[in-house]
Amino acid sequence: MAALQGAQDGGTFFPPQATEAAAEHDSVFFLIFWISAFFFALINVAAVYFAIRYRRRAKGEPVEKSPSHNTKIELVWTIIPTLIVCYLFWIGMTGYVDRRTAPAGAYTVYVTGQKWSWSFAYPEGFVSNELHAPVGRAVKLVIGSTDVLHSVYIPAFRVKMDAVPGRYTEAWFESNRPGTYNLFCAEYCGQQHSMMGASVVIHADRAGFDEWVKEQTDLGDLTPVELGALLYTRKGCNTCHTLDGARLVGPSFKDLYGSPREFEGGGTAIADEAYLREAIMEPTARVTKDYSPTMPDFKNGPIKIEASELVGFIEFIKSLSADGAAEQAQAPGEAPEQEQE
Amino acid sequence: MTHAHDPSVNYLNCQKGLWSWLGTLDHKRIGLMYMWSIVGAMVVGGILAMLIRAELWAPNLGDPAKALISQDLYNQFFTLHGAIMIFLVIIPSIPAALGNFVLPMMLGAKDVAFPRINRLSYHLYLTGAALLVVSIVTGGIDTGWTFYAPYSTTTETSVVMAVFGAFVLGFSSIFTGLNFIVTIHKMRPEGMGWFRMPLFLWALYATSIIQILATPVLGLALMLIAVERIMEVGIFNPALGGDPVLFQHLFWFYSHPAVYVMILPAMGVLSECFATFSRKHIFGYRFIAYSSIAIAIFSFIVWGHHMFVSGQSQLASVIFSALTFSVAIPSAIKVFNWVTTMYKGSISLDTPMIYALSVIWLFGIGGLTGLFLATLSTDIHLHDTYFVVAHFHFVMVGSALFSFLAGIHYWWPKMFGVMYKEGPARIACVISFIGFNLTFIPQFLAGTQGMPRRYWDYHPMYQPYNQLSTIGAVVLGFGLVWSLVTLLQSLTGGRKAPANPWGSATLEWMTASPPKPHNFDFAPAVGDPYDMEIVRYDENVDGYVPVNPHPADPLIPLVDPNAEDAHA
Repeated sequence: MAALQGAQDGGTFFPPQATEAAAEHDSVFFLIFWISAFFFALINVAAVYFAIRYRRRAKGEPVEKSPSHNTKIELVWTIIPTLIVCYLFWIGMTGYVDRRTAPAGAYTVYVTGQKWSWSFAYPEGFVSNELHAPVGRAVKLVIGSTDVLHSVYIPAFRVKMDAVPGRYTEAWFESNRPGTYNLFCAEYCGQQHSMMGASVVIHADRAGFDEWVKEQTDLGDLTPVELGALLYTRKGCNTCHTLDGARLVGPSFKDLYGSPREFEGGGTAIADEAYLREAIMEPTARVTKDYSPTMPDFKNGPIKIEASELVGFIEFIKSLSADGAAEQAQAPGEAPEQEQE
Repeated sequence: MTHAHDPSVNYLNCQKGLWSWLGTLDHKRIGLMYMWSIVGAMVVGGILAMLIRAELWAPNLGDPAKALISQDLYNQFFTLHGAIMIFLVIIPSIPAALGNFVLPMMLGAKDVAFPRINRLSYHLYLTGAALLVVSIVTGGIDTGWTFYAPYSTTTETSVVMAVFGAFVLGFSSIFTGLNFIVTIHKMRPEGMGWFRMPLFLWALYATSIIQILATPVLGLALMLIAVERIMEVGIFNPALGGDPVLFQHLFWFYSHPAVYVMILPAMGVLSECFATFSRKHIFGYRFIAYSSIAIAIFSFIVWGHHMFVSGQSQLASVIFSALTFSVAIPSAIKVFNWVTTMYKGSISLDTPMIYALSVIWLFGIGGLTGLFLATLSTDIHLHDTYFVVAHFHFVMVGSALFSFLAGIHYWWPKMFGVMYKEGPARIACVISFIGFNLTFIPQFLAGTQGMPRRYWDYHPMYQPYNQLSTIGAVVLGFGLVWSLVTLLQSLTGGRKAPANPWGSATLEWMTASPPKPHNFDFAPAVGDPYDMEIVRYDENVDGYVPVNPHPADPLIPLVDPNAEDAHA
């Protein structure tokens, strides 16, 4: 699970501060904390002190008359908190506007949430399931969703913004601390909500980042099986389908090819290439027995799969079963390496 | 009224049989039925909470085989826990249970203005609860109690039935609010101007305003969900041409004020407790009364603070942040006034007062942590994390539920005519208090460290917080069960309660415990509700008696000889 990675060496209250905004956020937090602690101590110490000092010593004891009203004191404890919250509003507002407004010329990454994975589209023209950026570069996230609400949340950056289907939202960050951080989905989105994480990798320098970009864009020599293996994580298939036979949301890819399938509502089929094509492009057309129709539709849905990618997927799935691997081994000109996780 | 002057006849024993309860028009019986229904719902919601905490004891590391509860079931459990605790427990707790029982008596009246509508409210409550049960049996709900679209309009679970249940419960709430507003306007006794009302009535009045103005919007939003699901009309789902953020606006337009439906009546209970158990006139009566109304009004204009990272415009967020801070002021005013009421009092730490003092602590934390969430820049990080979960539990459970318990212990002698054992009841309160803090303080830290809410699985770094929280939940559950057992024990073996055990000056204490079917034999005379000198301690009854008792009936003070039944 991608969300289980990450450097976690922050303090008692917060994860590490990986942006300047995080440091600013924390200082505002502690300002409010100490103001709150003061008032909290004041009222509780007073209440406990009064409860002891003026405890009833005998039932029916006479009570000394004391005033039940004092306009001056009421005004004092109305006006002082009012001034304090006005100040808090002001610093909160300025910090918020700064953190919602990306600087001009920021590196723009399109983030798409779908049940239950994240994909990041980079200006260099590739898509990854990880968010990468170099230190010291402002990154603007343009966030969308293909199905329900999600929320991009990177605790180390103190950044959060909902992914709303039907519109784009924006967030930005500029990290000053290389490392790998967690990205969580913070808006409840159904079954795998807590599994919907991604890694955020901040490269120590521009060269490291550029090298990663080069790896991602250089797909020219990949065989269909290698392409499928790459897309398996990039498109987030790994959230729901394992390679080792374990069951998650959807069936495992292991030994899927060539196996007999039973469907919800009756009907059977052998998982050949034609079946796999249908299961990928129109997953709800026939749903495997005991599974629910939750997979995104790549034929009519917002995310499309290209023809070459489809071949990659099918060949990758074939490579994971004994029958399919044997077929591929016979095919002229194709000697795939078995991709393992 | 054949039994009107027979002292052995009271509202509990005047009629027998199931229908004498279910079909009753007596506000006191309706109040009690609400109370027992709420206790029942709380047991169910509490068991769900325990199951949630058990699942969160250890992370599953992404492996469903390690989980105690499957993801689908977990999502249903937290949804039901929220829906049950909010719609069936906290919202009706103080207004419908305690309010029904106490409000007419505080006015010296026989009943609420519309007893039949009051009975209808209770029947709608039962119907709504039954519909929720049906939705559980027919597929469950996994949307979270917030029903956020488009998840709620696309998931396969039994959402239509559940929103219909919440819709019906909404009408129960609206009718109760309507009844209370009319009762307070039209049935105040002679001499009780607005500023001679007990503060509990001010709180109920403010609550009722919210109930009748905001609840219809929830009904509308939930019906629109059903319309979208059944007829595929595009309202919230962008796939059909709708807007999911619209749902959030409609939902929070009700559900933020609903938070004040929970906390305002709780504040009313606290005002009564602090005055009574300090034997002091409440400090700053008008400021407390006005602050209730101020909170009710402000509650309508702050809903957007739930949406700072929803895609709502920056300008809207800035405005909602500023308005949100306005609620802090009247809340703070109340707390300062309660604590000042104790100054130079004669403070008795009876069980209701211990609960009330607990709430000073708990509402202090619940209210002050609200500042972090109202502040825009800190909310970005804290929104939708366990910080928010801890914050609202401190307000809804720590403040509202503990105040409900204060109220139950305060009016218990009046309800059943018996005293519970002080020792065990106080210990139960202390255990619950410790358990509550242990449950929810670690969740603040899990939240600041970044653990999102509604997570079935979590990063192992969050495990210590979750384990402390689970241990705390067990302690809290133990304390609550203990308090229930202590109260139930008093029904069979409890010492007989005097009419006025605590020395309160409000009118419900001027009739017998338990009250007669029609509350008062004579219209009680109205004075200052916080003038504690109108009652004095009498050791013969181990309670308080009016200073100027009527010779024939010492329970009824200052009788007007021309009056007959109250509001006859």
